[in-house]
Amino acid sequence: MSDRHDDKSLPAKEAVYIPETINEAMQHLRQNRDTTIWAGGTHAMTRPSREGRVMSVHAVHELRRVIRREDHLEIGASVPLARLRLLGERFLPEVLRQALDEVGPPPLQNTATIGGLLAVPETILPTALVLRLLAARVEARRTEGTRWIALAGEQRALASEIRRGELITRVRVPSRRWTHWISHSFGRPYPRDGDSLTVAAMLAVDKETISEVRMAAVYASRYLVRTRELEAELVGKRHPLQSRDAAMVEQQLGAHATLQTEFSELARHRTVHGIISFLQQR
Amino acid sequence: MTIQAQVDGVTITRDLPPEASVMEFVGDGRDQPCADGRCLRCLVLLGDRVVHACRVPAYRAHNGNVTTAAALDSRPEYRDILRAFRRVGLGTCAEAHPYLVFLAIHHLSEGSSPGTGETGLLSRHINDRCSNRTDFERALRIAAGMRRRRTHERPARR
Repeated sequence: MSDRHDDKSLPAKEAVYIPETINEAMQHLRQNRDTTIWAGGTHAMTRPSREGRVMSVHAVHELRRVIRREDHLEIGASVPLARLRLLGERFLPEVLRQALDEVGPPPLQNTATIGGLLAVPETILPTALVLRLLAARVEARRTEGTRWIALAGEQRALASEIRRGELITRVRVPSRRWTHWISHSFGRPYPRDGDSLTVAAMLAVDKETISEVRMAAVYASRYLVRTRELEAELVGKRHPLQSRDAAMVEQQLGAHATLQTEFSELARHRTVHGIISFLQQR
Repeated sequence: MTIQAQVDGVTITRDLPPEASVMEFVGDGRDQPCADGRCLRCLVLLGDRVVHACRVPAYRAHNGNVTTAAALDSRPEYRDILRAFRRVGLGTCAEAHPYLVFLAIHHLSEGSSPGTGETGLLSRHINDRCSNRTDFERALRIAAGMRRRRTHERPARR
């Protein structure tokens, strides 16, 4: 896939600043802390009102790289999702590919970026949920240094963790082999629909025994439910899950405070039974 | 900001605010029925990529090429798709035809022989009354076959 039109000379820099290196971007951010950062611009275009200056990082070459390491994958924040799907055909975790397929109509994936997906304010999109379950980490860079944010440790949308003057540069996804997975969305997670639901889960099974499990759900792209205690309890259980263990899952998951207070009755039902049927499937 | 680009082969220069979209730049009078791209009526080619004109900032088109549905006939690389559409009778609906062709271009640009799963993922976005998924998927298969044959039958260079 060609990016030819990105490489040509750029429009007047006083209106939208378009850096070509990370250093240029950081320098601009240091001088203009109120800058709004755009990558693909797909989210920004649905909200045309903006404050301050705009910096578009789509032409920064370092942010458009995908590097495969021994135990993880490093994805530049400005990598378009369509390119990520193509490049990652062989090595992207299947559950992540499944979640990427759900992102909007396919041509949208030519412009939407992985960093942009994570940076939508107050919103946890299906792909972001899957990245959390995969224990992905996000690099946020500022002129003073770099910090890595563990997505799995955050209950809120990542955008609320990013400070002014920081730029999301890379997403690091551990390459671990999962034997079973689901990522399923009901309703429309974006633009935020009051009743959308995403259920995602993954399982590593070894000799019919669960060796690791991760599962979560997001309601209305905002309310996240994940019970690590339950995940820990399921380790060592037989797979497919026995009905006695399924009852335990139903009880513990159903008792989750967010699930009870924020989820609709239908979303609650879909979450609990979606996860149980996933755990009981061969 | 001043943006200059080729739209269907004609150079256009416009002064637009930074948040203006490619759709505003092209300015072909189409309204924007859905505002988030779901309706697919705003698809165009930016370079050789299919994008939503309503969701891409106009400055991304600067010094580039924008091809709208009106000019697709003049691009020989997409004739396979147009012929396949005609063969299954998908070219009759003026409203649906352009976005279906763009969806097909997007799909075939990812690989010459897309699998049925991928075709199914695409066809679920068909959202009009005058086309059906089966015909669209058939047209995709025919177009992929034509393209494959054309690629393999090309005489070797001397």
